[in-house]
Amino acid sequence: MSAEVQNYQSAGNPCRQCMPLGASWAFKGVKGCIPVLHGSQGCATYIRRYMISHFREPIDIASSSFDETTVIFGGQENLEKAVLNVFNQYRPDIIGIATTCLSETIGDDIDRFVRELKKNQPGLCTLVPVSTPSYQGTQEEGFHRTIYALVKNLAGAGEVHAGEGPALNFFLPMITPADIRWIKDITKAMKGRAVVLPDISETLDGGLWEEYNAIPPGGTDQEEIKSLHLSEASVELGTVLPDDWRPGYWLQKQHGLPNLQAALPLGVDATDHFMKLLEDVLDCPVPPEFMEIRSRLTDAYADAHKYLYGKKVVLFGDTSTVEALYRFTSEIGMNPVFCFTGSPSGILKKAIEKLGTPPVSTTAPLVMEDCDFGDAEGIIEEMNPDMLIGNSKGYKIARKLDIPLLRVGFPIHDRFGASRQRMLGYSGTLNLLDQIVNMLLEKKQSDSDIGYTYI
Amino acid sequence: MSSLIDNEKLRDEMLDIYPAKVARKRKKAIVLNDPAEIPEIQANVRTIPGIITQRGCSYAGCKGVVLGPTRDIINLTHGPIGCGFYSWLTRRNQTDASGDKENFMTYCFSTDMQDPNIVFGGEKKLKEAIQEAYDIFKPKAIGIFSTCPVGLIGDDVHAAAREMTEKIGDCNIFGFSCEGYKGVSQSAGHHIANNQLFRHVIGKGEELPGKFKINMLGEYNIGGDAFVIEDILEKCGIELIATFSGNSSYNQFASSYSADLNCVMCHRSINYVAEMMEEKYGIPWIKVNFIGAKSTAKSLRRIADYFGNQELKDRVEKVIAEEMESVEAVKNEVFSKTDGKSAMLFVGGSRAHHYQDLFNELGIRTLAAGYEFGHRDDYEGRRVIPTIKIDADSRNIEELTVTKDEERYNQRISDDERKALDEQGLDFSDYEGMMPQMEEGTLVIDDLSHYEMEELIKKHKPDVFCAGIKEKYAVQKMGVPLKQLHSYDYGGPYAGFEGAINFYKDIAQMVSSRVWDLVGAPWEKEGSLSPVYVESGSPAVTMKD
Repeated sequence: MSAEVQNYQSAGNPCRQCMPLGASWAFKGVKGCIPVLHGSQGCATYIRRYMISHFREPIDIASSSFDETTVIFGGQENLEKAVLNVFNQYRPDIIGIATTCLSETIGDDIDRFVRELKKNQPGLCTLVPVSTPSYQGTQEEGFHRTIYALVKNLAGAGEVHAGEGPALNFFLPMITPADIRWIKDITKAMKGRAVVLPDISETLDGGLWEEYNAIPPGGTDQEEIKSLHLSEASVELGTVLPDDWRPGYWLQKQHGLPNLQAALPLGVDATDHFMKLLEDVLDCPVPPEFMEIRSRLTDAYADAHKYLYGKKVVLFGDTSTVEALYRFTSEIGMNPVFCFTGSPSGILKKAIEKLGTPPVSTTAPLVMEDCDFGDAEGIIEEMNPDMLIGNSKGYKIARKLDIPLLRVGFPIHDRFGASRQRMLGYSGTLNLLDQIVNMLLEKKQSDSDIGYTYI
Repeated sequence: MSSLIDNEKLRDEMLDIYPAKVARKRKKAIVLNDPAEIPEIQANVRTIPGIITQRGCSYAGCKGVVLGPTRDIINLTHGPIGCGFYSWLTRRNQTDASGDKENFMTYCFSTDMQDPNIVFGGEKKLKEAIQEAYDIFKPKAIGIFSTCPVGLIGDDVHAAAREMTEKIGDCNIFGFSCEGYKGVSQSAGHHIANNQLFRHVIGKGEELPGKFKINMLGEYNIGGDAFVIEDILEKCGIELIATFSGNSSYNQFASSYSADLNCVMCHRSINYVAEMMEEKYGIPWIKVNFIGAKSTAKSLRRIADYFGNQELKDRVEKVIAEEMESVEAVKNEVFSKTDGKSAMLFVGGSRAHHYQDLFNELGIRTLAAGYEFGHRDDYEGRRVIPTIKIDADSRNIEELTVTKDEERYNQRISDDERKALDEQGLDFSDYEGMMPQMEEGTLVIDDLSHYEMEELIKKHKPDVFCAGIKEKYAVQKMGVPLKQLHSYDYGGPYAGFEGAINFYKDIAQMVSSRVWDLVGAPWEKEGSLSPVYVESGSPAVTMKD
């Protein structure tokens, strides 16, 4: 669109993180799991401090702490030491091992290291390796690759499913602990049981403890991962991913398990589809209390319409969040004029093309992948939108251009309660809708010379 | 209560969990203090793989700590995207970018290395990125920071820097070989940063005139600390040429050789520059501490003593007297809340020492302390430097050979004057370290592991624990409040007199918070809550059996 969009070689204010962060996130959602990053200790430290500033919870990530000799002779000995020391200190059920740019550049064969380690140390806990070189992909790819590795390494080994009710495997994008709790609640309300992998609902949003736990409670139990193939079906929510990131696809191929795909349930339409999916697969009607919330939500849509209609909004962040927000903001009559992500995967462009132009607009939105805030700033300035929705890193632009920014996604380190942000289901949608409307009202009010209090 | 705990036994218990070899190694880093006869502590030794450490990497120390707070040098990360992203404005260094001053601190520049760059090399992309950064911002200087893969794939950031400096002409471009795996912690990165600043920037500017000129080294303006120090110095009539590197600019670094005294705050991260400047330009250095009201007063008096000017001395005394009045008032207000409480500090390379002064002022005892990336001299004092064993990790960090600058060298004070001042307590080129100040029998632990931290808290239950954000939420889950001393919990400033007042208030608030009493619901505790019924016509009756 704009002639000012240059194809820069470098990144200025990036809109993505690296694969090992996504891997750590995924491993943190497995019960009794400690992630080990195979590389320099700085990776573990940076990723810990970054995730902790978002979740405000303890997050332990170990490192194989390379030094200059490791770089020359390879990291096998360091990895062995790291795994044994983590095992001795924390007695975890599982150790997740993710590579970094350093170990990948020197060509460490992580799968072989783990095979040999298992053979030499038979008393160890479960080890799951995953290759996550930071010079490829983004945190999203690291996240999905890790879930894929967990399923591929473990699923199929179990013989029974513990727990009551028909089990559904949920493979979700990087959503909040509160939204995962909603997925579990709705499935339970419909007499099913959600096996969410990874389940960060408790590990990354826990309460105060009476007694100290070396590893925070919660997470997907390893035994459940082993029995994923025995569930009724897999449900993948979010954008359609490449096949080798999709554990649902793998379970289907290997074990013939039905694999269902749906959009993230944000907005009435997407939630309706999701509810219908649950109704069908669980053979249980949607409970009336959920329909009441739906009714309240559509009522709120009607009430909010005068504030939202035609308002220009810019969406950014990871592909799944941006796609869901695009669908939702289009639905409520806003005009999502520009969507961008740091991910170069091609997924977002395809997804938004499929969704088409928002009803309120006659022109297709600008969608940019492999985009950073440096590229986006000039475009946003030119478009002069009413609102930005995305992570905290958009603040610089929001401040400069005096445009309100609603914080959604990751990272959020300048607002409180990121783990409790709700946007899924009828109730989550309602929460997000209220926030959008109020932010627009606040701007209108503070921009007014008079300061009306009825708006 | 804590004095009843047998720290020696606690140490053995902490070590129990480790395999014999690891336990032997860790034991050397966990010592019981004796201020009369300082024991040797193992420090600046590589963290054992799998031990969850507070430490970061060389890149973090170089790019994040030392160069990060300078507003008008473009910091370009050469590597995959993660490192640049995670170090993007994450430390809370403030800067005064008012007016039309250039400020690049809110930007994150990265070469965003991809697969093909790893395979075929990234120098071309680096040079393009430098050109792009220059074309957009026209900065005076660009620093290139190497991440892990850079050294491995053979990219020569220094050659690229030279080539681009020549090509561009009016921009000073220099590289840092601060790959994350170098050295054992951030500390290696500090040294690398010091070397390159000394080599490429210090001395490039004009000599500045003035009276009572000093540099403040190792003050990074977290939470606005440097602003407070700038104000105090100005009140006293002491001229600040450059701060390394809080609220700093390129030109200040370049002209910093004009100062007549270097004052070192964070000894660990910057002592190299102090030493090298003395060698090359003849500027002596003293250790100062502006954390704590008394320490601030003492530091100011020492600076005034150095210049030996009576007018300056009087002015300093006047400022101290004025400031101490409000400091004392706030202290008296909060003292009853803080007196007799206990603290532990595991942070940084100087903060774990400096903040003990503030806690002392509040009547809070330090039960245990240690650094994340300190060396033995930061614990035991500089006198041990000749006995520090050089291992493979430190050998790989370049030591610059510095010689006198024949034109600009200027011995600021004569040998006799120096000797006399030394005897007065100026202690040139010295730092006595943390341990002489700590009580006998307290625990000093280097590179505290996450696991050891948990054991320490379980046993001692300190009233406040000081560390960083990585530790914050784990410690608070145990019912102990944690004060972040890297970012100040986004509060501060804590330096100087004004900072002391802020700290007193924040700590008083922290140790008197009642949220920890709410950990268990009242009905989970026996007999702690009884129902109150209101009967008509009679006063409320508490029902008890």
